[in-house]
Amino acid sequence: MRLVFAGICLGASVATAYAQMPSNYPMDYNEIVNAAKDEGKVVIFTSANGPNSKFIVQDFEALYPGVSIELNNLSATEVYSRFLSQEAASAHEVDILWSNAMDLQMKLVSDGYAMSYTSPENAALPDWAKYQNQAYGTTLDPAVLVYNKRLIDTALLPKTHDDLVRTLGDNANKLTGKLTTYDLEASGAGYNLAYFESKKWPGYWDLISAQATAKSQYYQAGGTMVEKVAAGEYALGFNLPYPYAKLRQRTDPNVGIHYTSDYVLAISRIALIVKDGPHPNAAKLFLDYILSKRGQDIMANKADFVAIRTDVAGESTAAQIEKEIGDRLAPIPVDVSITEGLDPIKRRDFIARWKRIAR
Amino acid sequence: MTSAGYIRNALSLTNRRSVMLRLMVLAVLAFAVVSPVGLIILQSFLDRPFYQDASELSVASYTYVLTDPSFLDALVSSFLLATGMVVIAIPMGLALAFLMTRTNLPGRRWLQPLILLPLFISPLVLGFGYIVSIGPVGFITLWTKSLFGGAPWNLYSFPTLVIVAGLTHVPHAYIYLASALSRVNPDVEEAARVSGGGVLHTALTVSLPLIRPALVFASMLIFLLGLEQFGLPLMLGDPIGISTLTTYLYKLTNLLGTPSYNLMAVVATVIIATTLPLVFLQRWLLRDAERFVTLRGKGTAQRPISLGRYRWPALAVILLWLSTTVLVPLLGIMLRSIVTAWGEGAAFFANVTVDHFRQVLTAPNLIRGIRNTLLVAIVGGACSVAVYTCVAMARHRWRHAGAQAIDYLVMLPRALPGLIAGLAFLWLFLFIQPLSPLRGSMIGIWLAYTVVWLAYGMRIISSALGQVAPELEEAGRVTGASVWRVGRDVTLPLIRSGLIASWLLIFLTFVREYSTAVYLMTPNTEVIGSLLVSLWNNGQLDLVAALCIVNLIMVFSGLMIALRLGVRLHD
Amino acid sequence: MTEDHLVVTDIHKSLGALAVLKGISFTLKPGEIVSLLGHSGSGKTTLLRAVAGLETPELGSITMGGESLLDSNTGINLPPERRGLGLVFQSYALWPHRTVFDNIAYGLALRKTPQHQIKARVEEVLAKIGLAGLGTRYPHQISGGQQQRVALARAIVYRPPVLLLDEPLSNLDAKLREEARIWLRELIQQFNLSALYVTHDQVEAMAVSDRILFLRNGTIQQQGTPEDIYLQPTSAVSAEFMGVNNILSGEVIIKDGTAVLTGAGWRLAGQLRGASTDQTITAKGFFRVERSRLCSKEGSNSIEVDVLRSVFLGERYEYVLRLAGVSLRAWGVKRLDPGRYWIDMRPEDVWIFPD
Repeated sequence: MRLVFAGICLGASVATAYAQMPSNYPMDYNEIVNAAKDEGKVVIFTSANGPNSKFIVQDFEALYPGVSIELNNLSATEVYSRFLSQEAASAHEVDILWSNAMDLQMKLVSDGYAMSYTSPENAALPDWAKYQNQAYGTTLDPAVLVYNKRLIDTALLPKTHDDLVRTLGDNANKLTGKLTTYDLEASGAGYNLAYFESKKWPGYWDLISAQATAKSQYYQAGGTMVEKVAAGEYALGFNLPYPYAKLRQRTDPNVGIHYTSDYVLAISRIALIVKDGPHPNAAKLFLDYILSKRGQDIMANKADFVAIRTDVAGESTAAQIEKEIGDRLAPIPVDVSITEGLDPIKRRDFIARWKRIAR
Repeated sequence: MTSAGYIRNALSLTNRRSVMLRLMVLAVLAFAVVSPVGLIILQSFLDRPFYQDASELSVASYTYVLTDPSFLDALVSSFLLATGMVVIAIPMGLALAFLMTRTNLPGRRWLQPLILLPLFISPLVLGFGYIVSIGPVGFITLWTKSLFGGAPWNLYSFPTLVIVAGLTHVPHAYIYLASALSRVNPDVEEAARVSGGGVLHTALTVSLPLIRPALVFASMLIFLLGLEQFGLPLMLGDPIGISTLTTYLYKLTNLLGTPSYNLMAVVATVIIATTLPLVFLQRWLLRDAERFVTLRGKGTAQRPISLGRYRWPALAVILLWLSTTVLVPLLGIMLRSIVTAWGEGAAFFANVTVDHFRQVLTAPNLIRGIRNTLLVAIVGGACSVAVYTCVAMARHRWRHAGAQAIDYLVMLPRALPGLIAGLAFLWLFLFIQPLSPLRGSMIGIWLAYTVVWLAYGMRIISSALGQVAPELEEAGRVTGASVWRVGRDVTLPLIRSGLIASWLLIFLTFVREYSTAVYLMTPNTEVIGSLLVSLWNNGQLDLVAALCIVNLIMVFSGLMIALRLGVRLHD
Repeated sequence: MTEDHLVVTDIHKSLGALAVLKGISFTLKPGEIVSLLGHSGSGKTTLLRAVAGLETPELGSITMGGESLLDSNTGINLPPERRGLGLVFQSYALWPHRTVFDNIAYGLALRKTPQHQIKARVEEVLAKIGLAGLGTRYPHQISGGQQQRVALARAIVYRPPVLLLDEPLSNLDAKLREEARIWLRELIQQFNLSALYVTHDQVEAMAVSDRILFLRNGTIQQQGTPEDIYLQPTSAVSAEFMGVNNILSGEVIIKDGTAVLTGAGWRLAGQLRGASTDQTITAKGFFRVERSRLCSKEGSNSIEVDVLRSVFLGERYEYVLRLAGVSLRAWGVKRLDPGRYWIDMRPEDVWIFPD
C-alpha cells in the first residue's frame, strides 16, 4: 500500500528515470533511485577542474531531480588527505572520491576505504579500468604535448619520446626555456605519470637531462602550464592533461595538441564509493551515471574528459583518439600495483634523482 | 539613600564579577590561540598524522626537514628575501616619509592615500598582475619588445622577486616612519639648522637618530613580513625552482605523495620559532619607541622644508615607484580580464571580450565566493571588531598578571602564517567534537581570520582605547558605575568612531585575505582569495583576472568610504 | 552622628620600589572640610585616590560611618563604585559624549532614582552652581570655569557622604581661582558635605578648609586648623612650606628658658621648637617676612642688615636685605634708600628649630 502511494507521488519523475534506464539495469534499480532521492544529495571530492566538471553536474541533476551534487574541487592530494582526516575524526561526510591521482586512489582502496559495488555499467568498461568492484576508471585522459602554434614550427614537434630527447638536445637554442612540464616535487599527478613512465620507457632519465639542458621550467598545476603555453611564455608543454588543453583550445585556437607516435600515457580518473558515506544510494547513482553512456557522452562532448567507453561517439573519446593515433594509448592501470610509487623511500629517492638531474 | 546602606549592600561582588568576566575572556582567547599553535607543535613531534592511532613521539621529522637540502635552500632564500626587502623598503620608506611629512613636496594631500594602496592589495593580486604585465609574455613586456626589440627585465628571477617584494612593502615601512617623523618636534631640527646644518645634514644627524626606534621597529616588521611572504614567491619564484619557507611548506603537501603533516608541522614550527622572538622583540621595541616619542611631547605644527628645484624630480621619483608597484600590475590585470587570448602574437583588439565577467557572475561557486567574501569582510569584520573590543576591554586598565597573558597571547598568532593557521583550524574543527559544526561554515573561516589577524585588530582597537583618558573612566567608577557599566556608558561610546575606523580596516584586511581559507574552503565557503589560488592552479587565468578586478573593486570601495569618513589608514 | 565620619588608619602604598604613603592616619568629621596639602610627590593625590578606591594600598584600613571600605587585615577592598563617594578631578573628566545634564544625572541614574526626581535634582544643582539652562550643552561648549562647576555638580548631586576634590581649581586662572575657593567652601557647606581637598596651594587650603593635613614624603608632617599650621609650625619643613620666610642658620644657646640664635656678628632671641636641649647646637631660625619690621634704629631684639634695594610690588615695597652673606626680605609701604637698618623681632615670632 505504502509502496503504491510512494509510486504515485514520485510517479512522474520515476517514470522519466525508468524511461532512460538502460535495459541492462536490474529491475530493482528504481529502489536505489528512490533511496537516493530520499538522501537528497551526493558529496564528491574531486580533483576535476571546475569548468570541465560543471557540465556533468548539470546533466546529472537534470536527470535525477531531487538529488543534488555537492562538488568539492580540491587538489588531487587534498582529495586524499582531507578524506583521511575526516575519516580519522569519524566525520563521514563524503560519498564519492573522484580523482586523477590514481596512486592515492588505489591506496585508499587497498587500505579498505572503498565500498564494493558492482555497477550495472561494469561490462562496458575495459578490464584494466576496474578493480575488484571497488575502483572504476571513468576517463582516459591522455598526457599530451601542448604547443603554441604561433611559436613552434610543427616540424619541431617530436615524433616519439626518443625524438623529444633529441629535439631538446639539438634545438637547445630554439627550445631553451621554452618547455614546461610537471614539478615532481609539487605535483602528485606529475609524479605518478613520471614514475610510471620511467618504468615503461628506458629513455626517461635521458629526457630529464635533456630538459635540464634546455632549461625547462616546472610547475605544480597542469592548468597553469596550459595557460602559459597558450600565452606563449612557453612553446611546448610535456605530459599535460588533455582535458585542460582541449578546454583552452576552444577559446584560443593557437593551442595545439600533439601525440607522440611511440606511446601516449593516459591517466584515468578513478571514482570510488566511500565505504561509510552518508549517501550510499546517491553515490551509486552518480557512479553509474558517470560510467553510463549518457554520462560518458557529456564527458566526451561537453566536459572534455576523454570518455573511456567505446560505444560513445565524439571528439574526446578514447576511441576517437585511437582512431587518430593508432593503438598507442598506454593507460596506467587501475590496480593496487601502482601504489608502489608511494613507498616513501622509493618516492624520496626518485624525486631526489629527478631533482638532481632536472634542476 | 544613606551612605551606610549603600555600602552595606556592597560586598565586592561586582569587582569579582568583572574579574571573572576578564578571566573568561582570557580563557577563550587562550583556547583560540594556543590550540592551533599547540596542535602544530604537537604534530611536529609525531611520526605520522596526529589523528592516526599509531602515531608516536619522534624527532624523525625534524631530522628529515633540517637535513633536507631543499629546506636549507628555502631557509636561506627566505632570509635573503626578507633582508633584501628591508634593504629596499626601509630607505625608500624613510625617504618617502621624509618627503611627505617634512617637505613642500607638491601634491602631498592626494599622494597620501595613493602611497598606501599597496598595503591594501592582496600580494596574490599583485603577483598575478606582474605576471600578466611584465612577465615573459606580459602586455608591457611585449609592447616594450615591439618598440625596442627587447625588454631588459626578467620577472622570474630571485633579484626581481626581491625587488618586487621590496617595492610593494615600502608603504609598510612608510607608515611607521612617517608617524615617527611627524612626532619629532621641528624645533629640534630648526635648532640644528640655525646653528648652521644643511637640510640633509640636519636630517641625518638630528632627525634620523631621533626616530631610530621606529626605524628598527619598521625594519623588523619588514623582515617578519619577508619571512611570511607566500603569494609572491609562489607566483614568481616557483617557476624557477626558488622556494621560500612558506612555498616549501606548501609543496610538502605533495612531496611524499601522502600528505606529510608531520613535516609540514615541523616547517611551521620552524617558522614560528623564527618569527616569535622577532614578534616579541618588536613588541618590546614598540613600547620603547612609544616612550621615546611621548618624552618628545605633542606633535607640533609642521613647518615644511623647502625642496627648491628638487620638488618636481622628487615627485617624479615617487610617481615612478607608484606606477611600478600599483599601476603596472593593475593595468596588466585589467587588460588580461578583457581578452580571451594574450601573449606572444596575440592581437589585442581581436580578442577583447567581457565574457570572463559574465562567467564570474554566472558560476555559482564564484558568485558564492564573492558573496562570502563580502559577508566575512563586512559582517564578519564587524563581529571581529566586537571580539577584539571584548579582548581589548578585558585587557583595558587591568592590573593583573592576566593582562600580561593577554598581551602575549595576542602576539602569538602573528607568528603563524595564514596557510598554517587555516590547516590547524581544519584539524581543530575535525577533532574537537563541539567545534565540528564550524567545519565547512563561514563561521569557521571567520574564526580563523579573526585569530590570524588578532594582533593587528588588537593594535588598532587598543590605539583607540589609548585615546580615552583614564580619569574619564575613573569618574564613572567613583560616581557609582561598575567596571562593566563604565565600559558600556563611558569607554565604548568614546571609542565609537575608532571602532568604525577599525571595522573598515578589518574589512580591507579580510577582503584581501587568501591564504587562511585555502584549507578551509568547501563548496559553500569559497572566498575570493582562496578561489584565486585554486583557479590559478587550474590555469583559469580568465577567471583569475576577472575575480581580481572584482576583489579590487571591493578594496577600492572600502578605501573610498574610509577616506570619506576620514579614517586614518595607519597609526 | 557624633563619631568620626571617615577614619583612615595606617595607610601604606608603594609604586614599585618607591614608598609613596608611609603609614598615614587621619579622620574626617561630618561636615568638616580637610585639605591635604603638600608639594607634588608628597603623596597627597595617591592618598585621595586610595580613599576613592582608585588605588589599592598594601596596608591599612579605611572606614566610613563605621563601615569598612578597606581593610588589609580582612581583605576587604570595596571597588570605587561601592564606596558612594564623590570625586572632582583636576582635569574635570567630564564625559565629552554626554550633555551637561547627562553628566550630572549619571550618578542619580546609577542609583535608580526615578526619572522625574533626577530632573528636579539636576536642575536644582544646576541652579545652585549658576548654570541653569545650560543642561543641554556639551562640555566643549562651555567655558573652563563652567566645566569646573559641572564637575563639582556631578560629584555632589547624589549627596555623597564625603566629597573628594583633587586640585579642583588648578586649571582656572588666578582671579577666577580666588573667587572659586570662597564659593566652593560655601557650596560644600550648603550641601552639608564633608570634603577631602587636595591642593598644593597653601592659600587655597587655608581659605577652603577647616583643617589642614600637611603631607611630606608620604607622612603627615603636621595637622591642625589653618591658624595652627600657619602660626604654630611644629617643624622646620612646615615652617618653611607655609608663608614667606626669612631663614637664618646659627648656633642656639639656651639661657633661662630663652633660646638665642647667634651667628657671625648677630644674635636673635626666639622660641625653641622641636627637640629642646641645653647644649649649644646648630639650628635654623624662621621668621615670616610680614612680621619682619625694618627700623632705622636698633631695638630690643634686632639684627643689623644692609638694604640693597627696594622693589615696588604695587600694594607694597619689598626690600632686598643682606646679613653676613645671607639674603633676607622685608616689606614696607615706602621706598628706602640703600643703607644700614635693623630688623626688630618679637621673640615669639622667631621659631628656632634645631637641625
